Amino acid sequence: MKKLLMPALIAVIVAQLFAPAYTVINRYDILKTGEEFKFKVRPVDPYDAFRGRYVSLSPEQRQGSHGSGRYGVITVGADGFALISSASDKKPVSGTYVKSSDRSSFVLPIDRYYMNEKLAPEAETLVQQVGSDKEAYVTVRVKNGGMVISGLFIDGVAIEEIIRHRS
Amino acid sequence: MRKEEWLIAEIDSWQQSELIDADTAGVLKDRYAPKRNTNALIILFSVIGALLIGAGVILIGAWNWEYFPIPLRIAIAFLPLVISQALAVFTVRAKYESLAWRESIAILVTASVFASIAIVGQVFHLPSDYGAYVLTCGLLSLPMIYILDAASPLLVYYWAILNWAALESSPTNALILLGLFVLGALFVYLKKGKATARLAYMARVTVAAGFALVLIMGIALKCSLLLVALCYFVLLVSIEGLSVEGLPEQLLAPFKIIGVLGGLITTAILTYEAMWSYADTWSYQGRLANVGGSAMIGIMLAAAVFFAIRLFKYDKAKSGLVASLAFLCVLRFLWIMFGLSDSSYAFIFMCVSNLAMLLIAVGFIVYGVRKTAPLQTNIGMAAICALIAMRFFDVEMDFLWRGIVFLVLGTVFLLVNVKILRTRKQSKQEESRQEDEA
Repeated sequence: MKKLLMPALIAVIVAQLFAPAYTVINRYDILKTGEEFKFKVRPVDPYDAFRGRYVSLSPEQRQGSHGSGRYGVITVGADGFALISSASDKKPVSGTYVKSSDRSSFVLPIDRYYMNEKLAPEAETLVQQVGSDKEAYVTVRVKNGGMVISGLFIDGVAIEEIIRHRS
Repeated sequence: MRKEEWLIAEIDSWQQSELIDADTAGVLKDRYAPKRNTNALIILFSVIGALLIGAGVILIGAWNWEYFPIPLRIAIAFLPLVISQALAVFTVRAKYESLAWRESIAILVTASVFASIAIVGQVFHLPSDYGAYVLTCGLLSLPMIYILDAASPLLVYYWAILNWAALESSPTNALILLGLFVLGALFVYLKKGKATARLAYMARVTVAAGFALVLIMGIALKCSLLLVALCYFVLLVSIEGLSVEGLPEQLLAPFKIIGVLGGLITTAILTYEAMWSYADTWSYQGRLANVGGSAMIGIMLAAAVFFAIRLFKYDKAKSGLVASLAFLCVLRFLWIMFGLSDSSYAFIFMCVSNLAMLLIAVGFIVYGVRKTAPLQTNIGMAAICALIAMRFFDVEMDFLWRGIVFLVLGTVFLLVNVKILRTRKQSKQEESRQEDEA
């Protein structure tokens, strides 16, 4: 019985490494080789007990007015910002598409942007200005239905840069 | 070199010099073998230390997080996991005899799995899917319980699967949850041979998690939660019948305590007339159409009755308690199934449940007096007092009569206890007298 312990442990170690490694390989590839889009968002600042602080992102309404379906087709509007023009349960044959983060209806997989414990509260104050005279958006990379957020910007400047210059 | 190790070496040399034979050497070695490191405090501090080291590594990494490139962040995410896994390999190879090592490394690996997956999620700003996250981490931690023979991750495992099932409630997930729970509980059952504090801890955790399990399953299968809870308590009381060879007290104690107390409290709740005159959740679900819920109740009751029958030879009193509680379960089940929440039946059901509780209480008192066991007697007395006190809410009675009732109950309480103590004293005196004569 004791002879089996080491092979079993090795198998478990491989499984434990595989779970995060699969995510890393998949997401890193999207980040490096995916097509870039900009989505308008409205941020607020909550706290995730497990992963630290993040700015909670709510995509603008126009991304939610496309019906149900697991796959959303991305199109770019005249203003340069991306939107989901349609959604269906079948994988689109052409065009860039993104997979929903929800199984029952289409939900754009953009809901959080993680930040440092110190920076996130400052980002919160910036949020107050968004909507009146400023515009917030995220840049994302998309490939084969997967999406990774690469940055959060307010009026074209990365939120980390804004906060760094303010402090 | 510790003195025990020195002595063992000496015994070997005596045997080689033929001063003692192999049998004597074996007996001496068993008697003076170095004690294994099983001190509970050492284990506790080892576990806390392991967790603090893991948390420290992550927090130091988080200090300058914003300035780290993504590959470095990923490396930091994997660092605690790889270190803890390396320590797990070292433990299996060199420190497997040390319980403190096994327990602390198992919980360190578990914490590292949670941390690594969370940090990877943070690096790539992954959308929130808390249920999938805790389930993945829980499942990846489960093998550590078996491989390192460690109890510390068991609580985390139960917590993870219960959180997932509560967040993603559905009949299918309820069945999956049951399967996952069995995987954890099986480890406790396999360890039943070693009557240790660790077994007692695992049994307590399993009983508590089991209660959450049946409630979550009850919600998913649209069952009456009161009935589900009562069935669970009946099962706990009868669990002793699981093994005819006898189970250690460390394993059985939480089952008995939670089962008896939970069973009595739930029975007490059912003695109110109002509990039999409102439409239970199940009544809205098309009564007989609820196959899943009925199956769950039926399986729990059938298992309890099966165990009670096996137990009957050895402990008739416990089988009687199981039968009384099971009767109430069946009564409640029929009340729900046939939609008898009409207020004209409520009084009858209330009388029957009051009678059942009274019988259970009297059963405890009789058992306690016969076996001169004050605990069982007082449980029975307390149940009768609770039953009477609860009826004060139902029945109009002025303070004089309430006072008289309490005086009578208090007097009976004292007299019964004095009687039991006297009987115990007499039997002890008798035993010592017989020993002196012998």
